[in-house]
Amino acid sequence: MIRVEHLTKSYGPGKGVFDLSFEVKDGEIFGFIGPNGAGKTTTIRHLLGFIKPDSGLTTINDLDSFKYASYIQKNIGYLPGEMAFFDQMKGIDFLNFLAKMRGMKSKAKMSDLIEFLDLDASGKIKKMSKGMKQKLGLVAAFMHDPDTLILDEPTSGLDPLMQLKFVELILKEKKRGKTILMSSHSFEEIERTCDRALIIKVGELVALEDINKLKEQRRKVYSVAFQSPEDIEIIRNDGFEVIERGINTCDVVVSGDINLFFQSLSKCKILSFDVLNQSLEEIFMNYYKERDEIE
Amino acid sequence: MNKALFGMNVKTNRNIWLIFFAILVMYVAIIVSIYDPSIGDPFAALMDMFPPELLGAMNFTIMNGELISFISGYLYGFIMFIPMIYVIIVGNRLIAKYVDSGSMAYLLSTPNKRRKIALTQAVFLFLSTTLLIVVVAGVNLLMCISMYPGLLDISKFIILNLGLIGYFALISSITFLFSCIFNETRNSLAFGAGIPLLFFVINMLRGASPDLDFLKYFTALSLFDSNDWITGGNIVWIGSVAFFLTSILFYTLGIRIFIKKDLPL
Repeated sequence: MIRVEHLTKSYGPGKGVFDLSFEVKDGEIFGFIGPNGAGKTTTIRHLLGFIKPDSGLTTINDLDSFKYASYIQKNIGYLPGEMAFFDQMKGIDFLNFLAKMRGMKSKAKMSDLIEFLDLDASGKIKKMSKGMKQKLGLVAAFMHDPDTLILDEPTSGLDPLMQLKFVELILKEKKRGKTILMSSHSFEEIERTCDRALIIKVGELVALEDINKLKEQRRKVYSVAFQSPEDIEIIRNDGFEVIERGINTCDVVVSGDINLFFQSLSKCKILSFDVLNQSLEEIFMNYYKERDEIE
Repeated sequence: MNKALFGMNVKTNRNIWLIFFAILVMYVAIIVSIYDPSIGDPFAALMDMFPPELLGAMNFTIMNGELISFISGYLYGFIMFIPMIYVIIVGNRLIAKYVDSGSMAYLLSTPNKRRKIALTQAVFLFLSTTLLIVVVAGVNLLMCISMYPGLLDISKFIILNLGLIGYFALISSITFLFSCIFNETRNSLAFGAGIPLLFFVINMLRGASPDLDFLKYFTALSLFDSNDWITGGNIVWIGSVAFFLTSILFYTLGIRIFIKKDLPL
C-alpha cells in the first residue's frame, strides 16, 4: 500500500507539491495525471526515498519511504521518468548488473520480459533508440517481480503497438495482485488501465476519482460538417453546446451519455465527422468547470 | 561495500587507469635510465640552462648525487602528481556524474543503503588511486634494483611513496567530498578539481621565488615536499597525521552528506 499524507515540498511558489494526500490500495492500479511540472515526479521521488518532505509523510507498506528507502526497495519496481542509464554499458550487462545489485536469484522473469517486449539488449545503451531504452527501463522495473510498481510516464517513447503491449503487461501484473502507481499525461492511457486516478495541478490535488466516474464526466468534442443550417438547429435544440466553425460546420460538445448525441445526429444529414482530441489541459479545465457547476 | 558496484567501477574506469599507469611508467623509465651513478645528475648541465625560477616551480631540486635524491627531485616533485587528473575525473564520476545524469536512481532503487553505495565509491576511489601509485612505485623500484643494484635507499623510497599516498588520500577525499555535495558536475568539478589544482599551482608559485614563500600556508602540498620527506624529520610525522585525519574527515563528511541530502533523481 502506498500512502501520501499531507505531503508538502516547496521549490518556490507554485513549484513543488502542496498538502497532497492520497492512498493507493493493495492490488490497485492508480493513475497520476497532470501536466508537466505539476508535481508528479516530485511526489514519486518522495515515494522512492530520494528526497525528504518539508512536511507530511510518504509510506510504502507502512514504512517511511525516506528512512527505510533501501528496505522498501526490495519490493518496488521503479521506472524513472527520465531515461538515464549507464551509457557505456550494453543493455544486457546493465540488466545483469542490476540483478546483482538486487541479489536476484532467478533471471527467468527477466528473459520472459525481454522476449515479451521484444527488447534487443545486445547493443550499447548509448546507441539505443528512445523506445528501446524505454523497454530496457520497463524490464529493469519488472524483472525482480516486485509487489509495488512505480512507473513515471511508462509509455513515453513507445510506439502504439508497444503501448498496447504495455497495457497488457500491467493488466497481467494487476491480476497477480500487484499495486501499481503510474503517472501519465495521457488521459487515454490512464483510462485503459487504471481503477482510480488522481489529477494534480501546480502541486495540488484537483480530483481523485474512480475512473468510470471520470469517464462519465469527461466532455468530448466532435467536429461535424452538416448539409444544411437546419441540421445545426436540430442539434442545438436537443440541448448540445454548439460552437460554429464555418459554413454548416461546428464543434459539438458532448458530456455524459454519448448515445443521446448519436440519436440527434441520426436526424441530420452529415458530410463529415471528426473527434477532436482534447489536450490534457482542456480536459482539466472542463473537469474543473463541471465540478464547480455540480457544487 | 557492494561487490557488483565495485566491479562496475573497475570496468568503467579501467581504461583511464591504464592510460595514467602507462604515462607514469614511461616517465619513470626515462628518468631512472638516465641516472648515472658516476656523475650523479646527468641533467645538471642541461638544467643550468633554465632559469632557476622555472626549476623551482617544477620542484626539480636535486640535493645530492644519490639515486633516491635524483628520483625525489625529478619524479616526486612534479611528475608523480599527474595522477591528480585521474583522481579528479574518477572522483567526479563516481557520485556527482551519476546524480547529474540521473543514473544514480538505478543504484538507489536497489535494496542498498545510500551509505553502502557511497562507501563503495569512496573505497574504490582511494584504492584505485593508491594502487596506481603503488604499482608505478613497484616498477620504479624494480628498475632501480636491476639497473643500479644496492644504490637505492629502499626505506627512504618507501617513506617517500607513503607520503605521496597520503597526499593523494587527501586530494581524493576533497574531490569525493564535492562530488557528494553537488548535484551538478560543473559545480562538483569547480571545487573538486579547483582545490587540488590550486594547491598545485600555489606550490609552483611558491617554488618560483623565495619572496613567495609565505604561500606555503595556502597549499597542502607544503606537507609533502619530497626532499623533506627523504631527509626525514618532523614533517614526515606532521604530514602523515594531517593526511590521515583530513582524508578520513572529508571522506566521512562526503558520505554523510550524500546520505542526508535530497537527490533530484
